[in-house]
Amino acid sequence: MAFLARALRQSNSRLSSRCPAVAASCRWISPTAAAGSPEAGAAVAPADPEMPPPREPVGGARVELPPNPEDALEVFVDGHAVRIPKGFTVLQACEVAGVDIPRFCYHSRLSIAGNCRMCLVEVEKSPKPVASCAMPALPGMKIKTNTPVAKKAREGVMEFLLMNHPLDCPICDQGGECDLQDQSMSFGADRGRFTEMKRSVVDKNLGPLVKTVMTRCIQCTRCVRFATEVAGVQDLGMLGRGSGEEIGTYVEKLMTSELSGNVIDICPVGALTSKPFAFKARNWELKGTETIDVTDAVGSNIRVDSRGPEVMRIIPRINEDINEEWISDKTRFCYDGLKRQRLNDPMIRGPDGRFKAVTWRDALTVVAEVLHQVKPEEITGVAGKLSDAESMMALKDFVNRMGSDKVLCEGNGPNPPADLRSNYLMNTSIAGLEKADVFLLVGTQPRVEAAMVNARIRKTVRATQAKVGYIGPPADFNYDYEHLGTGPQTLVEIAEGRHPFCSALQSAKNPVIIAGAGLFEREDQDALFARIETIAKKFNVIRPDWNGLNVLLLHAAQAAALDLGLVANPAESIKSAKFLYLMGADDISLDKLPEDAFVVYQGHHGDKAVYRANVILPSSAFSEKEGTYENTEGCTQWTIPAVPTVGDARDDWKIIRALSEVAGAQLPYDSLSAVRDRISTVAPNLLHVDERELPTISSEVKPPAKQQMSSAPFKTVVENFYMTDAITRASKIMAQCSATLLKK
Amino acid sequence: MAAVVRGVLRGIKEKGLANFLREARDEGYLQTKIHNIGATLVGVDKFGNKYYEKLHDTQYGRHRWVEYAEKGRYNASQLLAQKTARYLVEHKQNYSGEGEELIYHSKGHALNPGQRDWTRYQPWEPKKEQA
Repeated sequence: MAFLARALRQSNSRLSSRCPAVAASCRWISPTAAAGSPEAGAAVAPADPEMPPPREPVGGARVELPPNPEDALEVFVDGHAVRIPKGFTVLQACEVAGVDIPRFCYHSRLSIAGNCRMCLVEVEKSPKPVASCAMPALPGMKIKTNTPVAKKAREGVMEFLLMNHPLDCPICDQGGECDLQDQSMSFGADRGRFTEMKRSVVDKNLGPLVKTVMTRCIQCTRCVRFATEVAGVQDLGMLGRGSGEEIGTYVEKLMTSELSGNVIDICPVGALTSKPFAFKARNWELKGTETIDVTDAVGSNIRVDSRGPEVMRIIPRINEDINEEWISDKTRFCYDGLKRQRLNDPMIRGPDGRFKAVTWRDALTVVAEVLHQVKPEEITGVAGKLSDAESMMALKDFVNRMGSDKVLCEGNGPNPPADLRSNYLMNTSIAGLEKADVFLLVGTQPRVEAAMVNARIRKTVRATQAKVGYIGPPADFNYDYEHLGTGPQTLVEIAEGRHPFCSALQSAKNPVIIAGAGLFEREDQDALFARIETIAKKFNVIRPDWNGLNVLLLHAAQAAALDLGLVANPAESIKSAKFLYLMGADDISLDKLPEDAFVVYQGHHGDKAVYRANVILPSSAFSEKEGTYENTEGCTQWTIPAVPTVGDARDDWKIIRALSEVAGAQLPYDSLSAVRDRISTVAPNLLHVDERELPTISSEVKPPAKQQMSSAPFKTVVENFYMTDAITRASKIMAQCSATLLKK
Repeated sequence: MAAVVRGVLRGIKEKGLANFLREARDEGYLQTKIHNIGATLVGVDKFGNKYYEKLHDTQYGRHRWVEYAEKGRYNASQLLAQKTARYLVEHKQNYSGEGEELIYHSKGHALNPGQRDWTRYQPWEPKKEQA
């Protein structure tokens, strides 16, 4: 039997050895074909039959070659020719060729460290294997990723990495999504030779969000580079040398960044994991739902991971135009607020002042009865900062049908600038900020108002040394800035050219002015914006090819509310209201509300406004409904339901639709698509999902403001970054953060 | 046989077919009483339990049986144990399995006082506010 097998093998080898001879004749033809056209280099069929066919770039990426052919070069990866722009590293060249190189320390958005050595490849004529992430590709380089030398190098590196890595994968939260686990399976040796003791490292306390198990750390320094480069805090660093090397904060110190949660994602092992998520679930039990965040006006793209009816964690999704691949800590850790203080039953306040749970039918009947008792002009509807466009449309239609036009959205101020879209949007777009070379921030602190926009500004400042001027109360920035002044007086100085910062604006190629939405709340906002426009005109901020005049909004609902025309004056509407319909509006001042006013609160959390309500109607939160939101740059996005609604809660627009029927003024839509049809007649841009609709009319047509500007300095708009809305105020983690991290 | 048929007919006439069948089932006429045909009634104890025996044509182990006096929640402790005869103590039924609080219920059972709460959110309590 053994003899037979040997004979077969021999005949096989003889067969295969004959094949190359046939292929060799093919090879005779192919080089001449390739020589004819230089572009055909990558497309030529492999000459060697043992060589695999050329692959698609990793992740389906497209590489844009520079227009000048001299700025591109050709390298060979595993024998296949690829054309890449100059300045690409060997690792990037391999990715273009479709070869995924294992790596730990390399991260495409961070600087190159080259210290993990996992990305070693063989390069012809190089005496040793080369760390591909740090090696620039040179013309004609012959890179080999699959040779015994490269494989052995990886195996050796992996063995050294695992030497001091604990074998605690079964109790590690990274288990199942760990780079080290995956790569040791694909590239590591199948047995260990290690018999010594493993080292251990003392865990660090980085605050309430990031859990550390420093023994698991492989010193890739991704977190150090993230903290210094992206987050802009010099908290983390490397201590010691050799086997005594460890990541730490030098002295016992918390990580005080609003982006600190991202180190959890970039850590390739389980050294930095999420503290609130620790031991709660395994990643393969979770159902991911790709949705968006509503805790600020940026609309960061997120994935909500849920198990059954429970949101277990929130992680970022890549969107190069909005949040790249980072999210703020508020976005990431607000999810426990979705499980606390939830309204789950319709309730009516009885004569004794206590709430009693009732059925939907009873609650709606009571509301409809009161609606018929008040005069139409005494009806006011207020949309909250987390409202989606559908429910705001329904609320506006309903209040209008009842004969009132007092519908507004909180945070938009006494006289919302809703006439021109360019007056309330970020016209440069978030990604466009990277082209700017001078920033003028007027009454806005992007770091607390929109952390992802701030990250973009920081990225620009870091890359191009762009200048930042800031007008407003003293604030904490994570990049160099010039504090120009605290109030409108400075604006006047700049507009008249008397301020030293004017020279920077004058010499700028792409100047950017960002005005905060906190200015909307001021009585003199028209005069302020008129002055800002004068500055924009003076320094050529608005050109056909560049629009640098921006407004940074604060809430997720704001842009859509202004698009849909929820623009009543809050002070007047509240003062005259006998029937107040609050749709998740908690931050609107109810001091002026008449004592006998009937208040309906529709929302998902028992927050501030519930205590004034007469009837409570429970609705669904952003993780439970399908809704349209428009972010501060005018990009329309959808939320997707990840978990079921709690208790007896319903979607916002459905509640208003049901109430309209009970009140005898039935709204003409029964489905989400019908509501969206209605929206398309008011603001068609809200239907173009994931698209930025640019404002079509320029701000030139705006009538001149006749208001007098007050000299009151600008105020801080967001006092507590971690608690800005009903969800984050209900969250325990956010409460911990504001207690420990905002300590002054 | 004729007497049995006559008895059945009289029963149906008095109680109606549905009631008669229900009673017949509760009294064990559809199973135990039929099983008792041809067996020897060995004795009846003071609680009314009937002890039967059938030694021919039966498998060993199935040759003796009891017809309980209590037709609903019968229980082996209702039978007179031999030791009561020997020590002349008053026989008492074992009640340890009685009462809902003593019976085992799984953690998801509605009667389990420590039933697990599967609600994954904490509702807002209107009582806490109200100044």
